[in-house]
Amino acid sequence: MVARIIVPAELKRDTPFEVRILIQHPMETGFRLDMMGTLIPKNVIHKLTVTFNSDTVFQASLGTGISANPSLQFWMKLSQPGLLKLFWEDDLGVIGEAVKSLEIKGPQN
Amino acid sequence: MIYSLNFICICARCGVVSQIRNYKIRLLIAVLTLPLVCAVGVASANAADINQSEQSVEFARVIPPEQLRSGFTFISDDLRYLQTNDDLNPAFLWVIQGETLWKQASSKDSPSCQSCHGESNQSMRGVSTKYPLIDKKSGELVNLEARVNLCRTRYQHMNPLNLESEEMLGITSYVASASRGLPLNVRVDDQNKAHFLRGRSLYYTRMGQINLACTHCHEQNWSKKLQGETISQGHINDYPVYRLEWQRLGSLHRRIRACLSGVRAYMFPLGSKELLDLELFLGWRSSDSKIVVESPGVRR
Amino acid sequence: MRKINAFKNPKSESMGESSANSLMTKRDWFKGVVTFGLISRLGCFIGSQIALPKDAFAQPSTAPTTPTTPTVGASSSNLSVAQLTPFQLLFKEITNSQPVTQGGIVLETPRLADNGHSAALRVYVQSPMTNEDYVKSIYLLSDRNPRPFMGRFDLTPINPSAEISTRVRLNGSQNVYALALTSKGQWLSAHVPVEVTESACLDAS
Repeated sequence: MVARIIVPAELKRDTPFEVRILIQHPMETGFRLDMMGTLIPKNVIHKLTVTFNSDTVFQASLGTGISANPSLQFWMKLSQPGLLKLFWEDDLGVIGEAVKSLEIKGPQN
Repeated sequence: MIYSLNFICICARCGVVSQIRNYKIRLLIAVLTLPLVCAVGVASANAADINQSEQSVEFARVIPPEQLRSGFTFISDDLRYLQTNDDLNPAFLWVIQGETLWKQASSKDSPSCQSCHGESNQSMRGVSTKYPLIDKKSGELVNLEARVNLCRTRYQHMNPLNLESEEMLGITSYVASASRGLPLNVRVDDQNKAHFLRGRSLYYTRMGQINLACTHCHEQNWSKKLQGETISQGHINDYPVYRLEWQRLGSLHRRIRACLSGVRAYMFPLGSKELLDLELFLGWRSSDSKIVVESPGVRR
Repeated sequence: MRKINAFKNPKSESMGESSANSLMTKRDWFKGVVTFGLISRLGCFIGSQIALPKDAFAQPSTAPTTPTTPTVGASSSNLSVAQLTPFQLLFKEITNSQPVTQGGIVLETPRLADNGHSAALRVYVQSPMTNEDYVKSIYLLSDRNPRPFMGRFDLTPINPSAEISTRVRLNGSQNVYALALTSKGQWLSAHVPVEVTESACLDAS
C-alpha cells in the first residue's frame, strides 16, 4: 500500500510547516457487504505514529469514522535536519512505513 | 385520438355532430388510421433522438462548441481543491503505484514498460488522448486498458491484468496523467466509423426501467440539479477518477456502469464491445480545445 | 348475422309472459354491477381501517433531518446511563465526567458535504503549545455515526500549533464534535453542524 508524506519544498529552521500524510487504505467499516452478500470485516488503521529523529511528533488512533485512504495534516518545525518516519498498523496486523528526509534550506542561524 | 373521441363525425350537409355506430365503418377507420397513430407515437417517443444519418460525414454536436465545459467546472470547491492539489489528491496514490509498476520488470523475459517506452511523461504525452483506437494487428477497437493488456501479453509475456484491478488502475492513471493539459484527440475515420456509429446510437438510446438515454441528462439537462448534484456534460477528459462514492480510483467503464445502474438498465460488462463503442463516441464528443486532460480527477 | 338476444324483453314480463326464461334484463345487469362495485368499495374501506395501521402507506421520510440541539455536558448528567445515546456515553467516558468548557476550539468543515464518505475537517485549538501548556489530545466524535468515535490525535510541544486536518465519514447530516485535553487537565469542546447529501444515482457498479 502506498503512503505519501508531503512537506513544503523549502524548509526553514524553526519555521512551522504543514506535514501532509496520505495513506492508501480502504478503512473498512465492517458494515459493507461484498458481492456475495457477506459482511466485509472491519479493518482500519487503528494506530499511526510519526517520528522525527526518533522523537514522536504525532500520534493518531483512527476509527471507522475517518474516510478511506486517510489524509492527515499536522504542523511541526525543524531545528535540525533528519528523517521523518511514518509507521501505521491496521486491524489485520498489516504494517506500513514511509520515510521522508527533511533538510533545512535557507540562511543558517 | 379518433378512438378516444369515439368516432365522432360531423355531417357535411347539416353540421350535426354524431357518432359512427356502424361497426364495419368503425373497423375500417381503425385499420386505416392505425399506422398514422403508431407513427405519431414513435415520433413523440423519439423526440429526443437525433437523426442518425449514415451518409453525413460531419456529425452534429448537440451542445454548441462554445458551451463545452469540463466536468471539473461542475464539482464543488472542496473537490476542485482536492483535484488541483496533487499532494492531497487521493487518486495520486494510484499514480504512484503506476509509476512503480511502469519501472518494474518482473523477469528478464518480461521487460518493464520503461525499457521500451522510456519515461512516461515524455513518451506517453498525448498517447491517452487518442484512445480508443483500432489496433493495427487485430483490427479491433481498443482503449487504454486493453492496450496495456495487449502490451503485457504480446511484448512482456505476462498475464493480462484484471480490469479495475489496482495494478491496471495504477498504470492507466499514470499514463493518462502524462497527457495533462492536452485536449482529447479522438478521430473518426473509415476504420472506426462503424464502432463510432454504434456508440453514438447507444448514447441516444433510452435504457432501463427509468427509460432514459445519456443525452437526456448530459445534453438536454446539464447544469441542472439531480438530487442535489449538478449534472455535468458527461465528458471523459478526467478519467480515471477517484470517486468519493467508490472510495477508490475507478475507470470510465465503471462510471458508465454506475450510470446504467442508476437508470436500472442492463450493465454492460467492463471492457465489453458496447462500452468500447460508447467510449469512442464519448472521446469524439469530448475532443475540443476547451476540454483538456486533467487526469486523475476527483468526483463525488 | 343472427341477433343474439341475451336479454329478455322487459315488456314481455310485464305482460305476464312466463318467466321460465331465466336471463336477466340489461337493467338488472347494470344494477348488479353497480351494487357489487359499491359494496366492494365499502368493504375495502372498512377492511383498511380495521386491518392496517393508520400509517401503513406512509412513506419514510428521506429528507435529511436537521441536526438536533446537542445534548451533552451538564444537561445529560441528570440522565441515567441507560438513557444516554452511544455518543453521550462515549463523551462521558472520554472526559471521565469531568467538566468540559465549550469554546477554545475552531472546527471547520463545509456546511454542505458533497458526500458522506469524505468530508473535509479542520480542528484548531487555541494553545501556546509550550512545555507547560500544550494540547495533549484532540478527539473527534460524531453524534450520528454507528460508531461515535472517529479519531484521537496526540500532540506534543514539538508541534507549533494544535491544528489537525483530516477527512471524515458522516452518516447523514449531524453535528461533529471536537474534544481537546490540555496538559493542565482541562477539557475543551466544540461542535459544528454538517449537512450531508446523497449521490444522485444509486451506484451498483
